[in-house]
Amino acid sequence: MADKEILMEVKDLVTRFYTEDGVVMALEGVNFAVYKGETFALVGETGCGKSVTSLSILRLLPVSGKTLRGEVLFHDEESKRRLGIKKEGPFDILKLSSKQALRMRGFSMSLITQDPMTSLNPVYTVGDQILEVLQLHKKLSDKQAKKEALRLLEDVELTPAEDIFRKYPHQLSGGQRQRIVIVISLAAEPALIFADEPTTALDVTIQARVLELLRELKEEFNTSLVLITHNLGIVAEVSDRIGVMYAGRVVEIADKYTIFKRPLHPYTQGLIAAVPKITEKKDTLSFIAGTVPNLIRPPSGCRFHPRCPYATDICKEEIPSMEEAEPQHFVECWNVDEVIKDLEKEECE
Amino acid sequence: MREYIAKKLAIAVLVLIGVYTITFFLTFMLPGDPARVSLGQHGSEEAVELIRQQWSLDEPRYVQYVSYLQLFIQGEMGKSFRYYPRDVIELIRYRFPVTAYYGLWSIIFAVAVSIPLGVAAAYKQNSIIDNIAVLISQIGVSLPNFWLGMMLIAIVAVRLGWVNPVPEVQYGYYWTPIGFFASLKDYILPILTVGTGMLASNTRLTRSSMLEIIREDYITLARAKGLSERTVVLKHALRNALIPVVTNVGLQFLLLVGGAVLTETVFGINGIGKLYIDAINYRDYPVVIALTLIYTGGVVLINLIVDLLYAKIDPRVSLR
Ligand SMILES: Nc1ncnc2c1ncn2[C@@H]1O[C@H](COP(=O)(O)OP(=O)(O)O)[C@@H](O)[C@H]1O
Ligand code: SF4
Ligand SMILES: [Mg+2]
Repeated sequence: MADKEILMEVKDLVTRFYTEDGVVMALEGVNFAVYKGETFALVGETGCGKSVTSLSILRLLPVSGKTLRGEVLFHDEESKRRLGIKKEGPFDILKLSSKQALRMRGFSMSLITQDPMTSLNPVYTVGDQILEVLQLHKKLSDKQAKKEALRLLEDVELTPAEDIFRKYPHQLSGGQRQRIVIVISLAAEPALIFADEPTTALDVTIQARVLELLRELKEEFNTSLVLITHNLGIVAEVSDRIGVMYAGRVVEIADKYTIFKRPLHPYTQGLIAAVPKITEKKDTLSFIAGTVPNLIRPPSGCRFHPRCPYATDICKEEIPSMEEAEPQHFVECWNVDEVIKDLEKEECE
Repeated sequence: MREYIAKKLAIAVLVLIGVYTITFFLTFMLPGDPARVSLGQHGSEEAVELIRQQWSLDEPRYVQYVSYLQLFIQGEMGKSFRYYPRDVIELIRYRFPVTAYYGLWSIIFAVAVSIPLGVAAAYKQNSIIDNIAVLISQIGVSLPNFWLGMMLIAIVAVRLGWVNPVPEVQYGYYWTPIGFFASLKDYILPILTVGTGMLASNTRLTRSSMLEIIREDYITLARAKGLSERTVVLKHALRNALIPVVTNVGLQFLLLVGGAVLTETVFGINGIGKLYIDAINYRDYPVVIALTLIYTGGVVLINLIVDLLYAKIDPRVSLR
């Protein structure tokens, strides 16, 4: 994947929420990159900061949330043209004016929200809600926009498209609604789509079909996808590369096979080991001793240290930085050498 | 939809008959001889006797009940005891416009202030404007209307002398195109008094409804599309937030009529409320019954309008 072009580089992203209970240190230096045309999965337990990562990048945090630090470098010529950026090279999304951010959203990157039952406005027809994007970003006439909307509906196998177009959200099933949300996110052909748990709220029987559809459309529209999920099964199926998140940091990044076959971060190891065999019924991510830390008073140093079998003194003091432990395999861990030694021992046995 | 309206109207007829029955028996249970009381101390024996006969007051109750009902079915309301031989309908027609006038303005005032205020407060939660909105709604909800009315009279009318404490306007003038606005000055105190109570509850409701809606996923999605804040708030959030507000405004129309008795007593307005309380005091049963029935009809009508508006705003509601 090294020869692929980079679309987005997220560097040292720090986001906090200022609440009555205290400051929530939701993101504490998030780093990852997304290549053009790939599906990058962000995986981790609930509350580790996956959604906040996407909202920070889209600049859609609620008023209590602030991104204090970091860069989101976006490499897309079309976006630069639209935003009137003349400067060579990538631009930093976090430095856009709020007016530019408005033009960027929907056009450069869009969002597929988690729950299709609540993601569409109940008082407007789905047609209206699709047209809105087309008219905003594609400058189509009413007639052309409608034609395009119908074509998109057919693309996601919602037929007869004319009928669906005129329906209100409550007249459609969960699966149908999620397809509408997908259409809305794709309509302006953005370079990047965040799909935040796109199938979690759906029936198991239609999850697979929606994922399949997402993959096909991603190819057709030549966009990149950041797939956010806590479900490793989905990740195994559709992603190219995986970033594992823990308590506000991305702790390991590698291609899908490496993450599943040779995880190097102690947390990822626990995660993979805990994936239930088909015959077992078990809550996927509740295996590791201890609990997800409170992000108002997070553990010092490496936030995983209270639960980590490899923890040493330095882990309690300083946050490790991300290193390329093996080619194209990035890990944030002071003791990754120990981990590798252990793996080699196992292999010898 | 036509079926729906027809069904509602049919129910309305039943409700009206029920209300008629209850009011009829309740009013006639009030102590005192109505003919005597309504004509007052100075009524001659002949006049009293005339009314007794006219209204079959000596007949058994059920005869009175039926003959009255017949009258209503024919669309009449009979003649007043107190102002005999004037028609009840004529009295009402004479008193209604002024109540409608200050009532309508109160609602216009309340809606025009509360909705923008509620939206702004929710949008900038904990800002100055939000604190003002919360304060206004708390004060407005807890202040009794009549007290506010008396304070306004004491300060604005008596102390400052800006307006007349008791509105004096030529009958009917306020419903002419010019008079509708020109009479505002005369009725500003009752309008403020009645409007403030409505404004308070409506601001509170708009604010809380809006606060809830702007956290919805579809608002996040609307923003993620790249829509401007203006579109997000005014198109996507407001219409949803208004759904409960519509019911509240409908309810306020009803409270308005109920509150008219108090308002008109405080401000000395000769409207429907005054007519009603006087009719009760003077045992003017035909007026009491007629007004109660009209009020009931109004309740049914307003509920119907609220339902229709509801269905218009929210496609999930189907009228059945
Ligand atoms: N609006 C908010 N106010 C305060 N804290 C928040 C808010 N949104 C998210 N958080 C906190 O940020 C952390 C990350 O949340 P999130 O990104 O939603 O997790 P997930 O990985 O499940 O998507 C959590 O600790 C959560 O409590
Ligand atoms: S840095 Fe230390 S605590 Fe953190 S994962 Fe590595 S060994 Fe464990
Ligand atoms: Mg989430």
